[in-house]
Amino acid sequence: MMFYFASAALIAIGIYMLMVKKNLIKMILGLSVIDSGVNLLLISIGYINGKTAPIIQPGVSPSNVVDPLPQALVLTNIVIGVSVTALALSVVIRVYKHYKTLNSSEVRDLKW
Amino acid sequence: MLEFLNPMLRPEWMISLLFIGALLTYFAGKVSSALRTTFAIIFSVFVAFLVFLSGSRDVLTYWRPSASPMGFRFVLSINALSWFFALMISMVSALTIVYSAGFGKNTEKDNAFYGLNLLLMGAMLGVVFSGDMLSFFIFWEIMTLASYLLTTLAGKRAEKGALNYMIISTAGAYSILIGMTMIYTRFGTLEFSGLASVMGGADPMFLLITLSMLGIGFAVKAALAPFYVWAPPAYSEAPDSFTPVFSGALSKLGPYGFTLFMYGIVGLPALAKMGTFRGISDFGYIIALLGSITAVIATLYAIAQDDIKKLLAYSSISQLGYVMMGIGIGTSIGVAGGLYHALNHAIFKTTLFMGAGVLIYTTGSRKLSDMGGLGTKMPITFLTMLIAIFALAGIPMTGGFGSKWLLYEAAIDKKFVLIAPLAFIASVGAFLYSFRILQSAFLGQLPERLKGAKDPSPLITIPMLFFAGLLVLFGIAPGIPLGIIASVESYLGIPALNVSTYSVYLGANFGAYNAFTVMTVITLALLVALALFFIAKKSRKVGQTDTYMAGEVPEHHVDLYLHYSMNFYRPLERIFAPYLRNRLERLYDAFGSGYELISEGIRRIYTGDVQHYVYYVMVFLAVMILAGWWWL
Amino acid sequence: MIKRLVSIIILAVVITSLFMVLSETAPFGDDETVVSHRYIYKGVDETGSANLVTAVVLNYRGFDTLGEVTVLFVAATGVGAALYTRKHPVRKNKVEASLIVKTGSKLLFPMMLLFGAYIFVHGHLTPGGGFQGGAVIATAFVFKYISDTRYSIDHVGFTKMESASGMIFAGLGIMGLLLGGYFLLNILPNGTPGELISAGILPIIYIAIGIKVGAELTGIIDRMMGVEA
Repeated sequence: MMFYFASAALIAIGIYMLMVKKNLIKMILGLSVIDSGVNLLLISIGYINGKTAPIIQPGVSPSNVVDPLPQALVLTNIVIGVSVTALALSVVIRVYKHYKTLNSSEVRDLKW
Repeated sequence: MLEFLNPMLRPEWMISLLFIGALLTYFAGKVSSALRTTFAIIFSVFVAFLVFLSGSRDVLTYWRPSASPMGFRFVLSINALSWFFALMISMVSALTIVYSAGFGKNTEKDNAFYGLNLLLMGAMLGVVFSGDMLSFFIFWEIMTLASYLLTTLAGKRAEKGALNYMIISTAGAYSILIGMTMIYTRFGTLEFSGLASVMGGADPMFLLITLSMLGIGFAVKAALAPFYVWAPPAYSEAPDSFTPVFSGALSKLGPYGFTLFMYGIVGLPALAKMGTFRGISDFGYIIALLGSITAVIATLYAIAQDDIKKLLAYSSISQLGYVMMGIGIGTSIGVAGGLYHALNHAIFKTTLFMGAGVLIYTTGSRKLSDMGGLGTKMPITFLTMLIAIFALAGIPMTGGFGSKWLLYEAAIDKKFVLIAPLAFIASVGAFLYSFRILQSAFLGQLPERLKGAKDPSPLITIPMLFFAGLLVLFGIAPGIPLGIIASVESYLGIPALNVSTYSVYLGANFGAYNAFTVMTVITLALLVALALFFIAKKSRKVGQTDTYMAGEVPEHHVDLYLHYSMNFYRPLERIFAPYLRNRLERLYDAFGSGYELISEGIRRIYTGDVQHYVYYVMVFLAVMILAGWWWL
Repeated sequence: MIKRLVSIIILAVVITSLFMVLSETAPFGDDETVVSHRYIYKGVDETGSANLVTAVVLNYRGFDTLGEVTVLFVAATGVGAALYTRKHPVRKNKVEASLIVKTGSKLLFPMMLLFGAYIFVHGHLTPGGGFQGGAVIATAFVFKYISDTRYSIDHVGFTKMESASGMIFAGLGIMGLLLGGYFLLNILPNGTPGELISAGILPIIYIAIGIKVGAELTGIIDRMMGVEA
């Protein structure tokens, strides 16, 4: 249950960062935090009380392991998260070069 | 003699020959332009010949089952109706390709021009040959795209018109798609033959909705009253060697769609269930009324044009209005008149657009006021266009007389006090604007700079002469086309017209029309008139500006302002001008700008600030959750 | 200030309610889903991979993983495009690394590469796999970048390795298509679960992914290092 609370807290903190912070890098950090929260949530949904990692080896029978599916999904999600963060950061670098600011409300070219 | 061609008389052969031919032609053009043109002519004429042969056998249906994942079968069939239209389309397309080979260069990208022409011909044949709604729609879309691309080949000038055409066509295609989907979900079959047996039993409301949805799409192609705004710019700006197909063949797919779905699939008894007005279905009456209104409006516009292609474009719209009128009336005479007029229109409007192309090529201008006196310089063009204009105006000796006569009889037969007068008015107008072409381009004084004008190459004149010959043939022997139409009518379950080779019999009320007698009388009258003309000839040639200038020395620009085709129908225009100020176009424009305004308002939500978006999402979620708690 | 308060209230409402619903529908520590049941009980027999996560990632959802690799590739390309400069980027580190970092990196760099390789070679036996191993390898290169201000990777070689490994992945998939009828079919024998050479094509794919991910992440880092702020 702890894990649920932790992931809820992570997601809430991440969204709060997105809502309140104006600094582009902090917003990307917020995205990353949400990402971590969601990953944690997925893993903990897949957990089954008293079971172990899903690797079948002598001493571990199939009836004894947790759900591997969320873990596989999280593996995907981590990679996607990395991609998103890298791309977003490079765009921010560009934005900074062009506008000399990281404040999102000062980047006005796409607004009216 | 031609037995070896028998295995090729299948719709899939004809269509794939054209599609393959389109590719071959395009790539042959990379090698040599002569090869490309030869390919295009061979493929199109050969397929047109195949189409011609196939119908002379028997009415046959070919099935082509294919293992598609959804369980659909693609059905291609040749029946009386589709053969009639296929003949018209392939004749016009093939001869127009021959005609365009006569010009050295039609567009900037001639490879694409010939390739797309073949593709378009294949798609049009596909539409009429398709025996199920899916292939109908697919070919319909290929046709729209190909014709759009062909229109844009004319260059920058055509872009706006082509875009208009594309947008309105797309809306029409969606409408058709909705109609087809509704039919499919109700009956679970896409095949026309299957639908024909079940659609008759559907409730009238369902029929009305589906037919209206389909009808909007077909009406766009047929340039019917509220949807014709795309036609004048698209017809007039399209490449000169493509407009004959555009107006002559492609526009006939609209009437084809109406005929197919109204009579071929739904059938007269089911149409009558929707309510009748003086014996014809309300739906058909509305179509007929829209058709006659279109005929009048477009005629009034055509009268006011100085641009020859624009004039012919409006004239096309108006003639298609006639066709729709006949098809809408839906009696034996009406459908026969509509289909016959469609055939005649395909022939004479193709000839006229071909002639217009020649005139534009010769004079370098589209303005009628830049032409004049070309009749003696270009006798073949003059003769063919004269015959085509006779047909357009419905003068005996040509096929046009027969079809217009049938249409009037159909309207009078049912005592339609709105439709019949409108048709008569439009007919008078048709004579006015077609006379303008004759008068301005071929009669009168030859401008100095056109002294060297002469008839174009045989490649151009032969198709025109062929069509003119057909028109005269139909004038003498209306039984030839009307015999085919009678078989179409019996295929559609409409009482067939009683025709023999030279005469048409309409029943006790109207009697018969013997074309041969009429022809003889008219010829005799013409001979007498000619003789009188030569006996009593008192005319003398005068300078073009003699009457106007009162002895003053002409200024250099005097040609332009005192040309007799300037303000040719000024008094008429003055009467109608207040009603013709592009009302419909303005309505569409108002719709467009209103739409833009609303969209602009909606766009205001998107502030461009990320935080606001996050707020939107979260507030929406919160509202949903709270509302969920409240209600559940 | 009021903005923060509002956002906290909204967040509290949304997150609390969402998680209340979640703990109702999927209580913590509950049994696996239906589809996972099959993976758990049949996975080893069907794929030959002792690590069930690998079995899911590479076998059952192999196509998904190909897409994922593509996403990463597109992201790396995107970073390259966003940070594109006409001349070749020159690194501008202001501070030299200390002696400890330099010596440590020299000692640790081969070890880290080896560790990364170990992780992705044993992806079907132990926790970890191509993505993790690739990340470890990229970390080794980060270390290198930190310790040496003039260090730069061999771009051409990295690109070639990345392309080659990507082609191996796709090529194996197409081989399956040709030989067995569907994409990414396991065309090699499964072997004995638990041995290094087992589980058919899974180790090969994971090695390819490991090299590809390592090269791509390193490429991203290289791009970002070369930026003049």
